[in-house]
Amino acid sequence: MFVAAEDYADRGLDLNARLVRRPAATFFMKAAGSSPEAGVNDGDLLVVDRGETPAPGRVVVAVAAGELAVRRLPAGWREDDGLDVWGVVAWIVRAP
Amino acid sequence: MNAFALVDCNNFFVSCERVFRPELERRPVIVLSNNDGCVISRSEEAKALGIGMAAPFFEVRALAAEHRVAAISANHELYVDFSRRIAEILRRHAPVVEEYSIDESFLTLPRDGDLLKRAWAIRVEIGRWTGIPVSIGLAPTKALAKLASDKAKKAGGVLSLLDPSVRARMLAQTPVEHVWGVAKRSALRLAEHGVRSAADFADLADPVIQKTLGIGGVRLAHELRGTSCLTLAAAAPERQSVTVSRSFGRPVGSLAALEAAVASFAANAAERARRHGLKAGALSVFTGWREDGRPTGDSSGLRLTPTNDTSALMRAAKELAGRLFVEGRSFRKAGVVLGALETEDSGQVEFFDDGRAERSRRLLKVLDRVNASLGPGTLSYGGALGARASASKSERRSPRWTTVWEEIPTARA
Repeated sequence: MFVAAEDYADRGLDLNARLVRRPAATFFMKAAGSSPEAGVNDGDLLVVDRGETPAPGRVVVAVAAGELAVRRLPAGWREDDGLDVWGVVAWIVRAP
Repeated sequence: MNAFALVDCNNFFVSCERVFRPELERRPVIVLSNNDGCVISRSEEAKALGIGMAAPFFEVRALAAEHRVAAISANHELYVDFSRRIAEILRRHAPVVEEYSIDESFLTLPRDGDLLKRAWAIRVEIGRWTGIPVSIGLAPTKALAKLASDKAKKAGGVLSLLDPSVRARMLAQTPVEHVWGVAKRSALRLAEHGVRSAADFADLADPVIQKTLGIGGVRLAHELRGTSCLTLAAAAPERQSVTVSRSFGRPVGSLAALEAAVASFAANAAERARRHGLKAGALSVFTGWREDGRPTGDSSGLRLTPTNDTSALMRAAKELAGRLFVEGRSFRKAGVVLGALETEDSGQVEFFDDGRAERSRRLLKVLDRVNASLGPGTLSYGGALGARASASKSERRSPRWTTVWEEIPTARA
């Protein structure tokens, strides 16, 4: 049976499309230091999506003392809790 | 019928700098032009200190030090990246977006439903997604949308002039020289007809306007009355011009030095044009100096067979430098502007191509590759070298957070 190639994906999987849901809102950052609680190691590449809605349990980049810092939002966190969320960490990229 | 919206980024360059440096919030911040010549963007706190737009940095340096003003060198790569992100967001909300400048875009929105609500949603989304605060003006015409966005800054972010009575009140309160496209000169001529406010101007009879300001003035008056004359440049060219300019570290007083400076700017501009796949159909050179302590300037231009060839543009720039040079004048700044840009493939045939063009193109590819990997200006044409001596150093540029992997921001974990 003849199957036209273009009926199927004409290119391989695109990691960028997978990791970056909202290109206009997505920024890359590097983790300085480790935070077991947030599951982040020193040097990890963070894919930060500012368009994602922060929610309890999510790992975020927050503004703390004028600095960008990685945090895991505690259970029961609410938007008016005072923690200034910069963006939600959508993915953590790490070499083994 | 459609409504126009003008989305204007507030203090755009400063706002971009603050995204990755939250400690700059609520502090006075200024962004300086290439080589720290003058102030090109100010935070509200810096404006409140009395730092003027385009003020030469040396004039405000003491004030800046006294009030701990953060003075940052322009990081155009960063601003272009944020501009692109914002345009991308706008295209989610409106089918046609005209990128009018790096920090302003016009949109058309269908005039149904609650337009104010839609504008607020756009403003909130841009703020959340990019961190950049914007002002949005809504109106039945472009000129009114521009006016509305200017007023929106003070009104909290979004202002609509769609309602005729709101519009009438606003026009009566607005001095005519605050209207988009009305220069001081035009305002003076209008004053002879008793025009002070934008409303006075809109009320003037068309023949009078035609006589004083020409057909452009008539069109503007119609726009202010609410009749749309200007449409969106649907496929706005990505760039209308390429400008490279510098304030000189030391004043330039010789023709040779001025020629060398503008030649290096032309080489830089040519490289940028090639990077964007553009050719220039016009080149102009401008110069600046001080007369009786006041900044003064002059400029001169040439039409060209569209080109992005470094040596051709350098030649043109040097010729214009010759026209602008005046013995005994200490030039403080100069610049090269490429205009009448067109895409490379739309180019006209070069009638006198004897193979030099192809050789030149190959050489330019090497030049651009080396400069891209080793930093701008690593390789340059002989004539451009002299400019190095007069270029002062810019030291306060922030990292290219969003365009260079080695410079992405860090988050403390």
